[in-house]
Amino acid sequence: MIASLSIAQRRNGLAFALCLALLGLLMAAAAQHGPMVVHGAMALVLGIALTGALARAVYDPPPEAARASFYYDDPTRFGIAMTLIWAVVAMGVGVWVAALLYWPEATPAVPWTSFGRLRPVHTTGVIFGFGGNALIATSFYVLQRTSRARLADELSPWIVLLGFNLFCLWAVTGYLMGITQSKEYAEAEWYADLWLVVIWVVYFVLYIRTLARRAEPHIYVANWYYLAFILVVAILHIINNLALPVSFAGAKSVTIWSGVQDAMVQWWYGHNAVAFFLTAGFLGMLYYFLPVRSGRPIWSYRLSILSFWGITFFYIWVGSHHLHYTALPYWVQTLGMTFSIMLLVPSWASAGNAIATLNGAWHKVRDDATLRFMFVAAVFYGLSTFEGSFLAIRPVNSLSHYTDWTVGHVHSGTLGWVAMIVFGAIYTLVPQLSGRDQMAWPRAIEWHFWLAVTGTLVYVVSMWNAGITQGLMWRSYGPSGTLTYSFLQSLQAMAPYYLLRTIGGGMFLAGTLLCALNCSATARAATGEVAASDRPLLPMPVE
Amino acid sequence: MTHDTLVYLAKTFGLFWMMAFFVIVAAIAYLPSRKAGYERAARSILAPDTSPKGGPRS
Repeated sequence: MIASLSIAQRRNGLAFALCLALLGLLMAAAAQHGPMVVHGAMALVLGIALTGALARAVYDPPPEAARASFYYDDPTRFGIAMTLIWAVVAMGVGVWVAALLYWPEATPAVPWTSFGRLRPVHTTGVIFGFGGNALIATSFYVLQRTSRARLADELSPWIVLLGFNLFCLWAVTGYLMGITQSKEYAEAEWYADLWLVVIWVVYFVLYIRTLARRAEPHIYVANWYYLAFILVVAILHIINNLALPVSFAGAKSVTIWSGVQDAMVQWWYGHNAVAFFLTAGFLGMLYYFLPVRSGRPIWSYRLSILSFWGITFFYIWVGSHHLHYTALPYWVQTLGMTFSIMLLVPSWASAGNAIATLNGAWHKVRDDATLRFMFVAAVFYGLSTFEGSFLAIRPVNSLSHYTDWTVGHVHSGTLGWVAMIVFGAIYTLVPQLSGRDQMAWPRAIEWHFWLAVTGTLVYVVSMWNAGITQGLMWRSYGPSGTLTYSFLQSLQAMAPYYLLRTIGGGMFLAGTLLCALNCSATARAATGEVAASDRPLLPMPVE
Repeated sequence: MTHDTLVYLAKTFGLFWMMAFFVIVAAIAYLPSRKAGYERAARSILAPDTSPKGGPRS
């Protein structure tokens, strides 16, 4: 990592590491007690460790000048390792909280193990830790290959990756200690949010600078999706997290939005987190890795452009479908519903484009589990976007909202679409980055594939049943107009589904664990060889 | 701005703005003169000098 930095970059890195250590010290000293001290100490330790490592290396020999004629993949390797670590931890917490819903009496009498604190550890860990690291790691890889240019510099990718993971760690440890903004998928407190803005700007600038050095005249469509992800997530994150800290020496803050405006901003953010974090970036992944793995160009490149603009322009309006039958004005709800239905057109155009790309390569889908991961991802993308548009229709929502159907829908998207495309990308990337023809344990990919598909189906089908049962029980009236079932009865009816969900999630987790071990074995058996063809087109001097 | 004004704007300007946007994007994507460039772009990631070593065996 440090050996690949130039002497000037090591000095700059040293300055940044010192600033991080000072920031940590300042946070801890100002707060004096509470979770902010712990977070300050975490930044201090990371800052000191980086300072030490960089200070020792400042007078080491500079890297070889020949490095400019290679792609810079160390950040991608690190990012994939973090992706897999977060995946195992966060999916593990997911299975644990799923089990708690079936065996609630198993909750230890310790505050940090309560469901309310562990649940956001699962969601943040999976969305940001697993999904975010996968997006950053693959975006660096795809950006360089599609631009045929090396990353613009060697320092900022590390600032992005280390800074982003510090944000994730601050977020999840904060929830365990009991601090939260109480905003779904944006629970991290104000200082973590500010930190993420800084990191995100570095990420955006690095992406644009590398694109500016590209040797390809056309910017390949995957980059459009990655850029939409980076840019729009920044806008969403800033607006939804506008808050006034109660004190600069404490974690507590108060959002500037109030009442129904707060709800609308939150779900404008919340649904666009689905759109631009969990869809746009992963479509970028799909549009690169699916053609590369299947050896076929995307079925219709022009359709991919049309659906890009459709997705970006429709998604931004749909958030209000989370607030049907609330104090939100009726016409805003209708607006969200209408755009949600229109969104099906570009969504299915993307899913269809991906599946049509495989036409003529079905024998590869049959034989190659890695490509099968991507195929299943495209199918689940189509299924879950259809389900999303359907659930956004007001009368359908009256049945599904507040039930486990929503949970099933989210997981058909995250397990079936997001995680599957990540695994497909990882199994394509890791052998290549290790200078090998294939993964260390090729058979384990098959096992992982079937565990993941079966786990997803068990999970999603049990949640469909759970949700529809709940929805119907809550709207059953007796002849005298009273509710037929108490809430407790509807909860008791959930027991078999909650057990099945835990089993499905456990299967998915087992597959993920297999993937992590397989990647670790492959990385340990790395040859260090780089294919002569896998080089930037025009070696440019490193800034 | 009243609710009625907003609805009026959404139904007039909003509608035409979205339709115009769609026409512009469709034109950019589907103009015959741009076809060759897009086909080249679609194949650019598959050119032999970027295909991964670990590609599928078929």
